[in-house]
Amino acid sequence: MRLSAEAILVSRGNRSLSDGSAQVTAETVDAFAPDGGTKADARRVLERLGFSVADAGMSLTIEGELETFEGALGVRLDVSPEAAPGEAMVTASGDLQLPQEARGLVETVAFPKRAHLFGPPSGKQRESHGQG
Amino acid sequence: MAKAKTTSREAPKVPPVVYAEVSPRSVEGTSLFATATPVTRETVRNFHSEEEVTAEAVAQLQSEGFDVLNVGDTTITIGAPPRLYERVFKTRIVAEERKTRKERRRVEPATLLDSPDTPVRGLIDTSQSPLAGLIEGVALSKKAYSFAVSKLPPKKSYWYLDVPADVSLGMMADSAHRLGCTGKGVRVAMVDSGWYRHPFFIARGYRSDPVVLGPGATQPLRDESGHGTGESANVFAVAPDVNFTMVKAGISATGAFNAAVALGPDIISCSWGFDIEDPPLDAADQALAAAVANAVQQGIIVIFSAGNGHWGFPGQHPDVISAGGAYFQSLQPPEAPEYASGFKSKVYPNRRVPDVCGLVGKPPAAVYIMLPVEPGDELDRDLGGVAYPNGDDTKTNDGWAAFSGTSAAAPQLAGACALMKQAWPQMTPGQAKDILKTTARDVTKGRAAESTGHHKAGPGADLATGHGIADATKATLLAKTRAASASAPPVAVPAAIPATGGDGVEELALSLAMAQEEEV
Repeated sequence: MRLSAEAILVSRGNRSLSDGSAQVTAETVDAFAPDGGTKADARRVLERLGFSVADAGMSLTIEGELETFEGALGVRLDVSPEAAPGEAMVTASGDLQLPQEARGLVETVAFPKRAHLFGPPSGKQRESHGQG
Repeated sequence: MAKAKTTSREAPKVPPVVYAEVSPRSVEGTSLFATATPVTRETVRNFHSEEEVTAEAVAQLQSEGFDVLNVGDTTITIGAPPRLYERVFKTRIVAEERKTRKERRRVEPATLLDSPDTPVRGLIDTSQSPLAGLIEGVALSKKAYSFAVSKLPPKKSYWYLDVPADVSLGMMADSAHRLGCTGKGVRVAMVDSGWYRHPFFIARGYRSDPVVLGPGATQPLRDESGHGTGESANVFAVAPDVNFTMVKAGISATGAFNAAVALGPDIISCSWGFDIEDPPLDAADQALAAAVANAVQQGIIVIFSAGNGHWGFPGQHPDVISAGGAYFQSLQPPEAPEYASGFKSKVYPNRRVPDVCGLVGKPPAAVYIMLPVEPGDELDRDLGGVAYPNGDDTKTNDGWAAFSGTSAAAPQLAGACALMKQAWPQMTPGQAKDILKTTARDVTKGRAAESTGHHKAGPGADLATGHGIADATKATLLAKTRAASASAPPVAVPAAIPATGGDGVEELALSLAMAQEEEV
């Protein structure tokens, strides 16, 4: 099964995207950005680990098979392809163990959640709210 | 009747869900599937069924486990896994590949389904089933290609808006179009479920580049949900000449958003998000926040839906234009429809959501704008065949569905921004937001969604509708005015005109521009 995640890189400004209270806006975003060397090195390391990598600006979007992620991050991953909106599609059985060569380049790897489409409620949702 | 030989390349597969038309016993006793008489308007009544027969057939099909999708005068539309057909009708269902004429006269292989027990392709013999006394036969459905999908929406008796005309009117875009601002030369990217090349878009001559696949997304020609296809029609309704690109989101919202950024568009419209009331944000959210901030820093105008009772994120991010909802119906004053979100962010202090509104329907399902979708997709099936207001009362495979939500508001605002951007190409994201807020029409009635505080609309900016419904023409005119003043050499402001913040000057210029427009 193919997965995707965001590799969050070590910033040049000592500000961290792992800080959930940080206000990341157009005015402050530079402080969270990696420098060019970090990004290039991280890309090489991640590709060597078997991921395909897209430069996503602030982070790197990595794709690979489930086994590639589990091998690189040292954890077992549970995948929920049918996760409800807002829920994680991938959950790790423990803390991610970044490979030695990625440390100092990659701060963490964030797995995506399923987004809500802000259109009509599904038939099931309407029924569950007594509207169906 | 002999079946023609198939032109097989590789073993085609039977899909996980098979759709079919069931013919209940006809009143004249001759099967719809066995008649030598052409079925025309003169003869079709012979193939109608008595109401009791149809009702009993529907009940028995449902008790066997079939989904009954539509009940017509001559046939009942059903769906079920192939194994259910095989068990109930004691047959086999096989897939064949044949050359078929598809959209735009292309002849390509297509997978067709058959029951080998009958000489007529696609027909299942029902004589050995428990329903034998009630039904004459079952015809396996073929995939409908777009020549069967109307470029015109179906007509319904309840109140709703059509695209492009009603949405353009509701967003006050028509006058801007007549002034020559149609979004020409402006690139709009939308991140959503995909884009189906519906005949509606072709007939209207709208321009769209090939769909770009986000991480994990597949099938660029399909929109299995219908959401992206439908919402894109809102962009074109307000800005018919934009260059449009859909980024089909797969498993990673941030990855798809960044794929849109990489296209270098002027505007990105997103009708989705996450429900986040309280901080802190997790790492995936912060990665998305950073992607949004980075896009805006590059000068891209980013619009996100505020949510439909959600604490929408990134709809509450300070850099986005947060799209809320207002409802209007004919001559009644617009109101907050209790469907769209409105709140003060707890994640970003002092951030009030929404900024401005597009057109959004009311609970329970916001059935409000008739939009083109891929025939038989999730929205077509989900809303179709269900009576208004819980559904849209259209067919489940007609390629049209009536829906809205702040999902519709975001692309409408994207369209308005495209008109402004054409008028003022150097306009920044912050300037675009300011112009939309300055020129919006105040909404003073109704409330925001209950789950976000049920805030009441009143005079001036509020937490129900922000600054009100966007006025695309006024916004475009103000953008033109600001573009002119930005390029003109500085002049001394006459003492008679108040110089506080320049608003007096701009209002005067806007009034003059509006007056010139009226003269035209």
